[in-house]
Amino acid sequence: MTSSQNIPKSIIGGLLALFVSTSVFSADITHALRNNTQDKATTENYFELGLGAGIGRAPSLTDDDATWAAPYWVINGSYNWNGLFVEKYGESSDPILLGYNAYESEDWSLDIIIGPNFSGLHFDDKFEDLDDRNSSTMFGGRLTGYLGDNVVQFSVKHDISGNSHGTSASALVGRNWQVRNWNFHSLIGLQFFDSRINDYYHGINDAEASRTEFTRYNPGSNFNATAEVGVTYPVTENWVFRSTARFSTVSDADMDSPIFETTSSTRTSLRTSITYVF
Amino acid sequence: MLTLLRIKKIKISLLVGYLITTLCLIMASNVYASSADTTNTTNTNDVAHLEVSPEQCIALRKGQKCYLEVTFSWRHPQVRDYCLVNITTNKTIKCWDRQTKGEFNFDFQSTLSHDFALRVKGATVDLAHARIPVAWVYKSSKRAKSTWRLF
Repeated sequence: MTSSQNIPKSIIGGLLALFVSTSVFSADITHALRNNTQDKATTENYFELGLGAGIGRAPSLTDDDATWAAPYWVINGSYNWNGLFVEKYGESSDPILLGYNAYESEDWSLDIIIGPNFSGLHFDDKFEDLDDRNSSTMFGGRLTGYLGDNVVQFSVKHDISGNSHGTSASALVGRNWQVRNWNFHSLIGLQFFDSRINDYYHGINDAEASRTEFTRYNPGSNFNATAEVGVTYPVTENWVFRSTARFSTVSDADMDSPIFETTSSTRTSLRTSITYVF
Repeated sequence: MLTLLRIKKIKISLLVGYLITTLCLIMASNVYASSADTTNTTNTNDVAHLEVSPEQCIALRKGQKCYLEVTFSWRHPQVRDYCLVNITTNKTIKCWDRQTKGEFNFDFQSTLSHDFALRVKGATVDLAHARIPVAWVYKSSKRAKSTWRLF
């Protein structure tokens, strides 16, 4: 979540492009890895607030420079009640996630999840003549396995809002390790977005092409490979320092879209934050 | 072009500003930690003194091993043989022969808080106490085992 009042529109566009374009991992495994929860800790009740700064290179919807740099607020929290949970992790592509833990064992956990994802193009005038792109409500399952020192997570979600009608899936594997009080983690994975998601958010239909300067575009499905390394350090009992480097590929299904001002075959970012845990 | 340069400058200045802010927050946190690093001492004998600094070990999550380089320092008006004992594990860490004071650097590694005491060598009476508490940022509970909720 980013404070948008003091940030140039181009930066907002760049950041939105990051999220619209499926760059960020499912945060749940990231959160589990960051907090060293291979002891199978369940969704916990906590809240933290902080400030971060990031820099990186990514395709942009509005900026003609692929390099971006921006501060952002970090709002993380989760609450669990009898298997029902709500999660809001700053690392996540899901703004907020509601779920129900349907099954849990020593090594596996299955969650039924629902939450909004992706966003529209309301932030820039150049998109004003395009049809509205509204948020999708993604409903599906999330299977997390704790296999030795590794955490694996598979998720499949489908839009039930009727906006994109799309389906996304991901397979991620990660691990963490502790060096004194520093908690390092690494993560690699694949993300899949079907043609309906890509078409709804990045496509240009005939009607739009006829009334705007955008050319018609009808993308297919795509896979993105992702990787992440990071470190988390407890500065005090309430303050936590985090730093994360991320890399992901960008498919042609995204980059061939005429709505992008700047294209790039990869996304890279380095983010650092400090948060206060209540 | 001028606008582009201006946007880049704004980006860089924003980033630098917030990096500085982040750094200040970390430093402020460290200052807080340092100010809290007053010695942790409980003396059961008026003349004996044992302290450990810094006083608290912070791990990210409950159950994690916590690491902390600490310094024990002690003093006693009488020249005798003294030992620093970990009461929690009942192990002698270090002994001094015919001294009135001493210092010892210790690499603390534990998932739990530990209590320490200064004793006369071979005795079981604690002359002074000190404690290294272990605290965590995140306190989560363990999962239940093999529980179906829906199916």
